[in-house]
Amino acid sequence: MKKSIEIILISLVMLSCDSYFEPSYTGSITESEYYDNLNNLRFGLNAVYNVLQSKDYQVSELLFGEAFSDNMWTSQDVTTGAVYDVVNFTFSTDNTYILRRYEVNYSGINKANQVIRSIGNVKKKDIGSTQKELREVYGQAKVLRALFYFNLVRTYGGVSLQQENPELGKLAIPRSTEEETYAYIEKDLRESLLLLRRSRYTLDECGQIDMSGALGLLMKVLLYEASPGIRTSEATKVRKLAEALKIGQFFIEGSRSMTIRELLCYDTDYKDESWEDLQKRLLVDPLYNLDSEVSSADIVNQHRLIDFDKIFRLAGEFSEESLIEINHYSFAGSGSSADEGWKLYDNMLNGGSPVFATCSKAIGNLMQKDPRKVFSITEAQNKDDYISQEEIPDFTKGVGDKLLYSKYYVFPSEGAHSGRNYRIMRYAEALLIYAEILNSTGNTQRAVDYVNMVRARARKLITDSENSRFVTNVTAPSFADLAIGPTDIVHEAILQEKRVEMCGEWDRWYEVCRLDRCSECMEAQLRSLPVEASGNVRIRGKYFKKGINERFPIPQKEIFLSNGVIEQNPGY
Amino acid sequence: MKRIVNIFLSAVLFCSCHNSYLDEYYIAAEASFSVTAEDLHVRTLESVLFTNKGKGQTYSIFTGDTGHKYGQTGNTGFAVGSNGCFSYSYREPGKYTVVWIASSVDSKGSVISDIDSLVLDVADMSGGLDNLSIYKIYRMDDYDETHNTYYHSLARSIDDSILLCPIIYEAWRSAKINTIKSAKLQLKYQLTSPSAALYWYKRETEEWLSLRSETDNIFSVMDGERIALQRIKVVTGSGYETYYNIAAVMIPKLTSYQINGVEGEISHVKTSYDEYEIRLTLPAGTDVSNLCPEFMLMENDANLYDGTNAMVSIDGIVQQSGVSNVDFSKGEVIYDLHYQMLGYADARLSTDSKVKVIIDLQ
Repeated sequence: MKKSIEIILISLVMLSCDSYFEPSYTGSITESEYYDNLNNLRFGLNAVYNVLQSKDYQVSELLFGEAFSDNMWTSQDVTTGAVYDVVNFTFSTDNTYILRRYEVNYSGINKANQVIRSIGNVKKKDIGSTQKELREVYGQAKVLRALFYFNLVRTYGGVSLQQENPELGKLAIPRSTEEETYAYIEKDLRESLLLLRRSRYTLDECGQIDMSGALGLLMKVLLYEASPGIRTSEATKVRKLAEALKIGQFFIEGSRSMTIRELLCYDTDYKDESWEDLQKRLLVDPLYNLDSEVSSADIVNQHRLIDFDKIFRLAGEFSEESLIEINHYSFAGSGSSADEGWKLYDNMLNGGSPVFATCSKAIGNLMQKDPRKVFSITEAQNKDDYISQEEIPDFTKGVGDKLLYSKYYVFPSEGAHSGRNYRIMRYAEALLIYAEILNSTGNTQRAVDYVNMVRARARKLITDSENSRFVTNVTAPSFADLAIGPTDIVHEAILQEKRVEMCGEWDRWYEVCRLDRCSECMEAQLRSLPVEASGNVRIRGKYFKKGINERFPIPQKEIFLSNGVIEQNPGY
Repeated sequence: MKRIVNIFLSAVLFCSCHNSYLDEYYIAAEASFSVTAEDLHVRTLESVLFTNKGKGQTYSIFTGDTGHKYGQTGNTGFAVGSNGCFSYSYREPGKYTVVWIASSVDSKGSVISDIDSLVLDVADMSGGLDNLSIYKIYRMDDYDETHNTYYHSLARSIDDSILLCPIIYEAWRSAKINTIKSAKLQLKYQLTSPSAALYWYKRETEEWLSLRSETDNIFSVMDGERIALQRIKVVTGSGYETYYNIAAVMIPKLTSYQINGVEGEISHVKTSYDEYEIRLTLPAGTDVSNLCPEFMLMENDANLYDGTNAMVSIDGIVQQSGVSNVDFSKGEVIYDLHYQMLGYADARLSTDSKVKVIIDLQ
């Protein structure tokens, strides 16, 4: 008996020691604990935005978005190394820049996933009246994730869609098709529409994406899905164009409202998720149901075109024209740069940068009789009117066609800061995207009207007293409106207008790819190679392989790491 | 003396180890490989995987296409990865001899190689031609006052060998330039590969002429006073030839339309090449429910229309000029025009247009 009592007592003592042997961790904090409050979740979101501000991301945007298109030459065209190989399509699958683009975008995706999966961890006591803010964080994380995937699918074709809650044994996910990847992007953007703020953010909370940013990007994604150079089925192309038209009518024209059912494409895209489950997942207000209408009146007047000469100046940062813009400047604080020392304009104006991009004569000639030229391009060899109001920047002369983009230049009169906000999407681009959608759906007259809105803004540069002295290359009467004409001619005119309006904004190559005109573009490059003063010979376009190089290879390192789960693109 | 002996012994030891060491690692080269192509047939740009099935220390492959032919001076092969696999895609159609080389270094330091080969048949659906248009046929001054806008006729595929190029009627005119009747037309085209070339068969001289895109202005669709099918071929860098016929077919147009002696005003629908609008103003009180229009198709030009190769209809009912009565009482009436290329029996060589007729009363 005594023995039994001893055993029981020893057991009790041992059991009571449980908590002693399993102490709570004090030296490290789990993800769910860290993100149990909105403030820390915001830090997580800032970390996602930080990827967009990073040098790796922006250099990669410039290099893959425009540097080897018909809008640009680079000084690296005639050197040796990884950038040379990319711009001349002589790269191998382990090229550093091809890998870096892949990694930097997946880094953004993983950070966005961390925010998205942590939404449910925010403690209810901490939410209270901030439920709306929680939705906004959630919505922005979704838009940013969509943006990173959009970059990837445009560069590599269909990619691996990472799980929000990765399982340790399943980290290597096989690639999805291009069409599946676009569908994933689209779903994120559509869901974000239920979460994001409908009005613009004020300057002291700037740098955040509102509903208009998501709508603009969604319209662009839908247009891509409907484009000939994208590997989607013909049926999908037709359907996406019709959906893009609806979004444009809602966002740009304000001629229709949309129900939640329409915004989400619920009837076709949510076969496996009930509205109740979706409502819970997206934190939708219980007052809403699938047929609740979202009024276009809340959206349509939030953004507009501002004066063209102001867009890329300090006055134009986070203006009404901005849809998605990445901050490099401290508006709330000292007015100094907030860019971690990374100078955005180095890429355009400083020969020592990783990618030193100069403007091609082709785009220069296209803008010969366009008032926007003097506010977009400058001639390095000549002190032109626009630059003459400031000191000549530290141009490296004699590269390419000796023209430079001046959009991201920071004038001394704007202060000593080195930052210039990075524009990912402007309202003018959304207008021209919508014009293309209208023209492609038989609404040519309205398409022409939207193009002419953009041209009217440009014409103002000629008549405006402040700027007219700089614009000597064109008169107002000769800068005419676009006339209505056959749809193919209007289509070309819209594309040309977009090329001129958006030149030097790092999107031209993807536009060419979307239109399935890469080979044409490369042949034109090869025919117009500038002669270098140094005697070095350019070879742009010579090694471009049609049908292969429209998509870059998946970096070899990723293929090795996935143990073959991730497959290479054809031809590499 | 002891030192000399040591050196001698070391040398003997080194020499005896040298060959036996290499012998252990020597693998006699035996070239053998497989390919992921059913019956050795693949399409251009399709990814083909070659996999080693033999033995050796290193492998290389000559894919057999331009620049990579085994045994030809200046041609190069590709090193095969350490996993014994090589992925490739052919850009041009043709038959290619693929050579796989396995190599080993023997104990004497000599490279011993063995080769294996197979013939791969690469086919291409498009035959090497991506798109084609007859370029700058007509300057559309009525659309663009700056005189910089031209009508280009983009070809559409009827089948693997026929390309149809619709031509607006305004381009059917006698002039030196910017007319479909010109003997100095240009073709604008895209081929699947830069090493391919396009040729046009000039009937008069019975020769194949090389035509560079947008550069050579020697192309013509005319045979005397009429339009005739034109033959072109695309020859890839490896000599593979694909033939096409180009059919320039006029888009039908009513060039005259009158009712009760009142001439209609004919205009293009500005956004389209194959839609027209005709407006007529008739005296007040005219009974519009039973009018008998008189019309002319393409000015009754005998080089385009012989009375049998076109049809004018309303809702599927054939209309004859000065014979068929039309009811305009319900508003505008749409005519359907169907035109088949003169002198050719193939019903697919045809184009259509629509004409909307609107009647106003004074």
